[in-house]
Amino acid sequence: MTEANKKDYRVGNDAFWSRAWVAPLVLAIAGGLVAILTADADRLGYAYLFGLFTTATFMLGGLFLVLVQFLTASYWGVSSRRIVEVVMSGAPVVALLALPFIGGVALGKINIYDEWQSAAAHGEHGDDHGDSASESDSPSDEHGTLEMGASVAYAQDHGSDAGADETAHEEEHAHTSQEVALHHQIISEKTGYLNTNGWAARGIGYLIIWCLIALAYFGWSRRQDDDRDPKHTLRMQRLAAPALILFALSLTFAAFDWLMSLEAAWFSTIFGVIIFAGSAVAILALTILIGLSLYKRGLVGDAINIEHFHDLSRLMFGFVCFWSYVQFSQWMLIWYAGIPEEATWFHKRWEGGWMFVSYLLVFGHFVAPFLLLISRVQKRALRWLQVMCFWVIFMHIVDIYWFIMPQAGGFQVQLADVGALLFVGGVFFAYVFWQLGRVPLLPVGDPRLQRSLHLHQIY
Amino acid sequence: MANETKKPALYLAEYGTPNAIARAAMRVRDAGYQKWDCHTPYAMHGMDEAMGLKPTRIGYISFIFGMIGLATAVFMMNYTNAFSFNLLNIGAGYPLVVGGKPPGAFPSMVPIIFELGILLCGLSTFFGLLAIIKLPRHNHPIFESERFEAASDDRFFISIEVGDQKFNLDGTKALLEATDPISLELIEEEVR
Repeated sequence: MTEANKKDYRVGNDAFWSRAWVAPLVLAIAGGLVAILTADADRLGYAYLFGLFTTATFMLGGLFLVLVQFLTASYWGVSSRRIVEVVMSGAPVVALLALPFIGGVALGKINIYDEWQSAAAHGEHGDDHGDSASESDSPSDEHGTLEMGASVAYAQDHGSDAGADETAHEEEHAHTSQEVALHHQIISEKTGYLNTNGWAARGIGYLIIWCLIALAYFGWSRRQDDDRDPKHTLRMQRLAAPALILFALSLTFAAFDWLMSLEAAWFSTIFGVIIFAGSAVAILALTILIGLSLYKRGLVGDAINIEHFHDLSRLMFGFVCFWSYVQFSQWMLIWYAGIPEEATWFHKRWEGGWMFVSYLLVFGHFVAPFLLLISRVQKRALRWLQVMCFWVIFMHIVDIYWFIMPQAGGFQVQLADVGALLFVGGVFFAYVFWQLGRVPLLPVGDPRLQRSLHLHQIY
Repeated sequence: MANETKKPALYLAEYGTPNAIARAAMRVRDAGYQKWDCHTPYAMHGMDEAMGLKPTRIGYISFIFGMIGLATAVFMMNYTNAFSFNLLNIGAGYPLVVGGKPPGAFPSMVPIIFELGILLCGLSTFFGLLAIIKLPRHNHPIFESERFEAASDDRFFISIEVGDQKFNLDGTKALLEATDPISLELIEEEVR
């Protein structure tokens, strides 16, 4: 690269990065066409949510990483922070892409939340618990997902081999009706929270919170590039703690609203933490990948070097373990208790071909990265690290897929799923890469940048 | 004091600035010494490179013992709870049904596998570190020097021990003198 390029740390006219935004845009158009042409209306809702949420986790992870660096006044990550900030600055794009989804659900065009939406609608018309329970004579009406044969209540009701216990056989039907009644009671008790208007209002609220934090922090950081005033850093540090609280609450409840409520009766308090852990893994892997490319093309000189990649990969390794810990905790408690209402959710992720995906997550999202990234040698072999980051991002996408798609039925990757992911992710990353070409690749005005440049790992 | 015999233990060279000790360390490193050390009032970035230190092996110790803990837990629980085979004629395990799960249900073992793995990993890291840095020991001849007290204040020291293969009284002295130390002393220890 030219001397001028090195000095101002910009993409400039680099052969790859100056045009990098074109590729995602082309993929987005192609993916969007494929999704619209191949999907039926039911599947499109799930597929779009999959694409949207997967994309949003990268932005949310970026939000977290920027805020936590200001909260701790850390210097190790300053030189790689601009990459994270640029990913974070895509929040308005995520918001724009989320609006059709929220609108579609609110107007009844997307019916993936039917289970609680219909219960909430009944509640508004004056139906009480007893009524909705007595409607359960035809459970396939009420359960949008029952025909998949994945719910435990369904298995006990219809599959004689599942309830072959001879002593319980006579009571079985009564018992099952009780459970169906309980199922409906749980959902109808939730309608104070899970109703269409509240859901849509909260969804817009999350988007506003994310956009505000992301644009404010990106804006201040950009202004500091020009005026080099440390007051921006001080302000961002002061606001980091309240912003992180807002971020944690909004991410948790967004996970509840958009993912957990797909199974209306099911609940898990650790759910948002799992999504957060996955987001952190995703953004760290993405930062390493973008950073490695910029580094190898000589765009950042030595400002982001092996020491920074080592730090980022250590943090990624930590969050891979954290993800495994919380995922396992949630599953282990539900498995041990063995209560049908709770087990339903995991039952759906075991039957219908999903068992393979569940095992893939265990080995691909935990065991493989754990063993293949544990050593210092592995983390500092940049080529190896790059491969592992691609793998980890792939597994993160599988993770979100596993959260959403079992609710739509058996395991079957459809073109619509890939298309929706390419569409939302493509639009998002086209914006991110375009933004990356406009701004300095380092936060050149940050007072801690000098210290960050001389980062050195002690053995 | 007079009739005690003494033998040389180490050379101690004193420097006034971090740059001086870093330059000196590189020369000692390039001369091929192994049993030597730098003593600075604070951790100096880049000193590991200047001294040519190799990466620590503590990670391998931790990893191996972590895996041993993991394997021990798997074996222990399978032996006592799950399978009724009799190992080395010390008595068979007793299959237990806990919480309605089948004997040897792997998921319920995971927390204990994790805990024992972490326990052995942590303990082996702690004691392995002590072994590597040769602690505990009661005394070291370097404390014979009164100047050395400044190592925790504002001075930087290099010590080269007699036990080093390259050590000889004249050659090592010449090497250290060439690095421009503030002071250079030969520390002796008592022979018992």
